[in-house]
Amino acid sequence: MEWSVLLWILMVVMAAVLLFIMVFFIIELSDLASDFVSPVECCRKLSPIILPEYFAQLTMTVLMLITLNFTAFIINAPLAAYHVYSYQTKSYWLDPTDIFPKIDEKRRVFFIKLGFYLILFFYYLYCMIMSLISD
Amino acid sequence: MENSESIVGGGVPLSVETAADPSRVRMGPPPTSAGRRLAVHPAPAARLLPVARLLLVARLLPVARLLPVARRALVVRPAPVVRPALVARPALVARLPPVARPGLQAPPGRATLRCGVGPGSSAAPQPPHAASASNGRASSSTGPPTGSANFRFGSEQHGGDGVPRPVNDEFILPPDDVAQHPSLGPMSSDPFHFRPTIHAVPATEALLNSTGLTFGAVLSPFAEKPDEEVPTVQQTRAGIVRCRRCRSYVHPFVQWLDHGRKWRCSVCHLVNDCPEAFRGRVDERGRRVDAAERTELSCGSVEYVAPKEYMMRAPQPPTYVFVIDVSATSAASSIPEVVASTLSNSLEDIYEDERALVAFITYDSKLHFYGLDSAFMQPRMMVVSEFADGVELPAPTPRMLVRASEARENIEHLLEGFPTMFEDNQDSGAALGPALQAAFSMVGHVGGKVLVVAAGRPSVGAGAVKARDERKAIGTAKESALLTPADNFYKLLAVDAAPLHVSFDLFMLAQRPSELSTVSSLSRHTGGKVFFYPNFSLSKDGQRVSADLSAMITRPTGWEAVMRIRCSRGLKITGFHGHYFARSSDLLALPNVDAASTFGVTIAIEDSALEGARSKFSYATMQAALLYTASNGERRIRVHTLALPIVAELPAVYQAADAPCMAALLLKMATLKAESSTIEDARSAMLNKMDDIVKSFKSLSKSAGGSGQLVLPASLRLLPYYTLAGLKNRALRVEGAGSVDGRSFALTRARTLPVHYLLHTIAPRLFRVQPGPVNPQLSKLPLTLSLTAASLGSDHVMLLDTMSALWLWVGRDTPGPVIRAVFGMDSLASVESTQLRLQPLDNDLSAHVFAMISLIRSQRDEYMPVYIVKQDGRYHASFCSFLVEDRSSSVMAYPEYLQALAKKK
Repeated sequence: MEWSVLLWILMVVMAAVLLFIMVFFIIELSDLASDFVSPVECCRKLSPIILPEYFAQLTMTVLMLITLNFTAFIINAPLAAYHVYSYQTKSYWLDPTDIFPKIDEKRRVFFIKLGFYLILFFYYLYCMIMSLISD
Repeated sequence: MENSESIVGGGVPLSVETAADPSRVRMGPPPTSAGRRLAVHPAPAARLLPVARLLLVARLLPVARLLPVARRALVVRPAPVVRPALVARPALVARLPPVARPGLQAPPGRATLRCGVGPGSSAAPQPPHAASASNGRASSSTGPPTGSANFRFGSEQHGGDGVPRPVNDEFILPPDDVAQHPSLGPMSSDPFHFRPTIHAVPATEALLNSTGLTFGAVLSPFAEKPDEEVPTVQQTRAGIVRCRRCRSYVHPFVQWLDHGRKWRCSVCHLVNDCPEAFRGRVDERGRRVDAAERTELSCGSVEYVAPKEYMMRAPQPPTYVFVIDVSATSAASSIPEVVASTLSNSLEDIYEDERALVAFITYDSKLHFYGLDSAFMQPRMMVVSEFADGVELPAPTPRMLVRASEARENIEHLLEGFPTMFEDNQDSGAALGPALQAAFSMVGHVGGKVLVVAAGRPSVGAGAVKARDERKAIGTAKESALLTPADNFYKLLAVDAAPLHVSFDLFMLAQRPSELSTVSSLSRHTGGKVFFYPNFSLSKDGQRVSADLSAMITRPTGWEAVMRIRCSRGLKITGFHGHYFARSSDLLALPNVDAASTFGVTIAIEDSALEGARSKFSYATMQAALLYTASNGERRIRVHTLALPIVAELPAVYQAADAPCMAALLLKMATLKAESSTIEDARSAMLNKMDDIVKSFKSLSKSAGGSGQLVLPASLRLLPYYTLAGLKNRALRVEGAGSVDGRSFALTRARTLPVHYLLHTIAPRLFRVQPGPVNPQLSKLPLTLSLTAASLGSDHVMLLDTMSALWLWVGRDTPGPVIRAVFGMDSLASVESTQLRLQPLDNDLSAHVFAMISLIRSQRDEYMPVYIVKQDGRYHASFCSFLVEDRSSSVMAYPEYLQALAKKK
């Protein structure tokens, strides 16, 4: 098996994991909005996952660049830029004292990212199949 | 939702954990109704399988949510409602259901509405229109087309120079025409407790938007109205009657159906069975005949004594932990001395309370604990200097958290020794963070009040912050970054403490920049208070610190409180402003609550739901329920119910607007913007809001356009004044902003003060002491003067009431006899104004001045020091910054601003 097949398999798995993380975030926020969890609890669950998610997405972007898959890199770049920006401005931190006014905004962001990862997932899947076929 | 108020209130150490578990949160007082409640609630998503949950979420969140812009674009703005000429006062009265209004003296001209009041009354039901026609004020609708509903700025019509100013009004209550609004009778909560920015609910979001007004409320659930107590509901066998779905409390505005056997909740519209013991005869208009005898059916604000089901543990005892800075800085300015002498005087009440618990912690770069156990003859001091890996409390004996009544001798002994113990302390570190952690772990299992007296920036251990360079940032866009906490330590501590009912009150007695914006997040998220004394010195601030500290110990406090605000269908709370911790979208945890605790609430209107609501109720209801433990150990629920008519006509919306309350809420909203964005953004938000309101009114009203004069609805005439004053306040002004700490404190004040205090802070009251008859037994304050330099004459003595202080301003040419009478000296020329003290002297003028001062002080919660300013002296410029009607370098003068508003297109 060629290395590119391995790469695409890895990408598909990562995109799937990120997809599920987004779903988890959205469910948690919905629970919070309908008072099923307390804001402290919700932030405690979500906070440890945010940075790994950023890291995974950045890794994906960088891998695409070094393997010279420019299409995938260009798809990934805007989100990577957003992640770097939100890391620098510390706006990624979920603040349990200030989460209620921001639920809708956060949820919207997570939905957009969910859609984004979905597209990525299918794109990677397509690439994987193509490389398997060419293999 | 449900009655987690009661659970949260009692469930102390568990509550964080239990909140996650829906089944636990859901169990409530009357167990019989639990099943039903679950049934009517949307499927409990937390219990479904993950996939099902995902499906549910997807269903709840239509894709349109992603694209609010697109969605907004779809909302068709209805043709601006017939463009009425804003003349006739609409028959608002007619919109309220005919309800009993017992206990109210019928004012002349309004007897019709009340004639059926009381048991056995045989008055025939009045159709709504008849009621309004016979309402004396309805006749005003036949007045001139530009009638009294509008205010024409600059015209002679209103007397004076036609520029409206607030009159001397202690509480700045809603304007008269609003105050007589039917919803404001004693059946609806008093504006003193619960005050909406519009005393009516616009029927659609578009209607509200077309006016540019902001809808919301300011509420002080624990406020004490002078000479009035919130009545307590007599216990009956029926227990506390609540709606079984939304758990709102029964109130005067519910609908009685089926001859009183059922009632319809006005919040969620569910028809409830009325408990047998609570039933009463209902008259032909659907009113309870016995309403006058039942407090909960006749008063907007009532208090219940909560039964056992409302507590999960025994009510907590009043608990006080004093955390006191005794470092070199603190000792040099005699802070331990002030604190010790204040406490010796004000702990008297606490000694008498058998349940009250007290502990002391002092800190420099080490922590000092005090074993006050009555088993020991003397207090023991224990020093902890190792707290790199978190603080460990010293050995459990002698006990540090003790019953005040039992350990009285040891406490008194400790306080006596206090000033000398740290007199020569050379240690200049401040381990505030570890001291707070220690205090929290000491009372976390009980809950209580931690009073922190700090002498500056925390510098040792967890929570230490470096001083941020603020010189270049002040007055620029970078200042907002300094207004947000440098370190999340204090916020996270607060988040841990709030669910365990621990609140922190912060007294910052600082001589240098103290990072108030970082440390004060402690109080902000635990419902605490912040006091700030910049450039602290014993002579200047000693008395004030003492008074404030003692007030925080002695004033009535509600412990382990939670407040839930329930709104009728169609109204949705979108945000809170104040010091609280939000446990859910409508539930605030308030570890401590007192008369000054105030919250701003912004409310959105949801068209479709409100439309549905109108078919059943012609008014919308908001109910704030505060569950708390009184100092005597009684668990109580204070319920404030506000009913506002739903109106569909523009004039009615304008008519019901409450400018002072709206100004206060807008300021509270601006504070948030000042921190999250920039000061400049907050300022332009205030200005744009005013512009919007003027422009909307112009486009809606024929009489308002054209003449080049500014015309506003009479109810809003003071809004430009308060907007302008707000921009010139320390919280938002650009020039002369002072330190970041000062700004942060001003923002805190704006966020937490009740309406009348806040408005008196931004637009102080200016009185002239002379001339006029000198009256040593003054019972009423003179009229206030306009806040411009023109009001100051060089031979006048003026008194300015800024809410936090009194400024006595002495003109340059004040006649010698006046100076002699007031100050007891011939001339002030050679004396620095800071050296001047006001002493009561044996003459009428001096007595008059003191009568004025004590009259103003009696209207305030806080101690107000008197500052003396000479016209040529150093502080004249600071005094002038309170003259908000004058031009400042960045903001127009008041008349100029009105002209500028008139030109807005």
